[in-house]
Amino acid sequence: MWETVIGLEIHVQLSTESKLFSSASTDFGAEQNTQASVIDLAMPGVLPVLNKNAVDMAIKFGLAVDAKIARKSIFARKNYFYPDLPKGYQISQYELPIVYDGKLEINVDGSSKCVGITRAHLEEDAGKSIHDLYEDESAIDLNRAGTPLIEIVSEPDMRSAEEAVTYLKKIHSIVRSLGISDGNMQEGSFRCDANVSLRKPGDEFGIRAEIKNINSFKFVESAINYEVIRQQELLETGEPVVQETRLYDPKKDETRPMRSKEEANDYRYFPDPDLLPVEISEKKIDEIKLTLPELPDAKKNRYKKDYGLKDDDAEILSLNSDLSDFFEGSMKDTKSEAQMVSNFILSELVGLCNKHNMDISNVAIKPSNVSQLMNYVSEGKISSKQAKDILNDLWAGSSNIDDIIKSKNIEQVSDADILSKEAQKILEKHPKEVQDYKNGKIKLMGFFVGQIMKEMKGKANPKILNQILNKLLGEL
Amino acid sequence: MDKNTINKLTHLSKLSIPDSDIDELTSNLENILELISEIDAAPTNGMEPMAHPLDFNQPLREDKSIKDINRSENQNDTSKTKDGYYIVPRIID
Repeated sequence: MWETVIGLEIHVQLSTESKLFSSASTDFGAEQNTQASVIDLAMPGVLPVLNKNAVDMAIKFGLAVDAKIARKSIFARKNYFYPDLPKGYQISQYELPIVYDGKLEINVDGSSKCVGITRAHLEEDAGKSIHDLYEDESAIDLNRAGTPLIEIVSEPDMRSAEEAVTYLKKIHSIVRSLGISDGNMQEGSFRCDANVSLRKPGDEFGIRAEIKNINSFKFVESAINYEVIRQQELLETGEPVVQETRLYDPKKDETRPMRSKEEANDYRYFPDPDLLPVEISEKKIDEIKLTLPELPDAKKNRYKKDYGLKDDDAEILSLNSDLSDFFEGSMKDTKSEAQMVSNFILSELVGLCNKHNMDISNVAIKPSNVSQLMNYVSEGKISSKQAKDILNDLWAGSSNIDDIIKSKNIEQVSDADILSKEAQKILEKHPKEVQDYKNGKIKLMGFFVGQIMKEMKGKANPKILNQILNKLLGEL
Repeated sequence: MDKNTINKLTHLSKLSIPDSDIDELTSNLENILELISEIDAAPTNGMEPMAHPLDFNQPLREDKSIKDINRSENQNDTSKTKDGYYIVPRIID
């Protein structure tokens, strides 16, 4: 049997207003090269000046993963030639990264494990090369050049694709909770490289392949799973695994070697003489500590303690700040039970989002809608099935729940007098069934409920109707 | 310093050197290495590596974006642009 060993490198774009070393804007989607300043373009004579906010954000991240913050860190040049890197080097950190020696606890299949975070360093992003715009030429947009990133490097502590994805999702939720990145994977604000190798349990680490730039949670899982099978087949036929960089192709669901990366990976790192060492005081670290928001683990515990949510649900909500914001918004004016509200959001609303491939932060349905629906269900005004139908109407564009209820004529009848009268009518109509029921055929309860529902076009409140039927049958 | 090392250096620095210059370049580089190697004689055991000769702290800049970018001016000296893009020979990765 083979043991899978996975380490992840995650690139997170920081949501600063300006770039890491220049005052150019970092807004996404601007016209090509209108946000590339003379510093980003590496014009002669320019000097980089470090963005204070980017440093603070890196410190925030370090504190959130229990890491050490380097009191003194330095920037280094990583040298390579590529058209989207005008300086011929990327300013990164090598020997003294700003954050090191952290850890993160993840939960997989009910058991928790700790993943070590070797380091997180500040560096600048490169520009973008576009290959499909012109024939025989590549087009370069340097708007992204110089955008601040933190690269988060884990220890090779993960043993399955599932663990890797869980770790990745947790890092994603942490950077979003901290407000240091929008975490948008489609726009490339959150990208992941996976180092994958196999070994016999207890052996030294095997030779690893690095899968570059995977930009969705699903692809990370598929890419790792593909790579594990590929390496296993090699090892079992006695072929060596080659240390190389590979790309994941989601269309074919396979990884393949990258053709022309610097074969030597000889980046000739050296300290950047344009930048002085960055010193961070204890006072600064303490100040930033005070600004840390509630992190996913704390949120999960609060949901369990204050709302009595099930562990799984508390975990899912806490790991996605859009979901947890929605949940908390829905709990604001509600008399309903938290678990019911959570169930409704996680199954019905998230179900709709998945079906339409939308994000909960972009849907027209508001937390107040859910809160109102759940209140009506708790009051017996509508059934939970009807709440689901109304949610579909809201999704389709209706905006007022009361109007929907009126127009559909679906308001539940919870009035005990009305229900009693209807029940009595039905019982009088079916004396034989009443006798059978009294002789022990209690399954006939369903028959009575069904007859009344039919008569009332499904609008009877089932809970109250059951109570009334029990009472009436008991008295007969 | 042999021919393989020279080839690797020219590859990394994206320079093409005519074969006829390689011998002279090799001997020049050897001389430079010999000169630099005198630094190896300095006792550095137990010394903290120095990142910068100046003993200052990196000054930090407030995170404000300034809109002062003039793309056409920036692209004045560029050999080829199209629709505001820099254009290079096709790179396939």
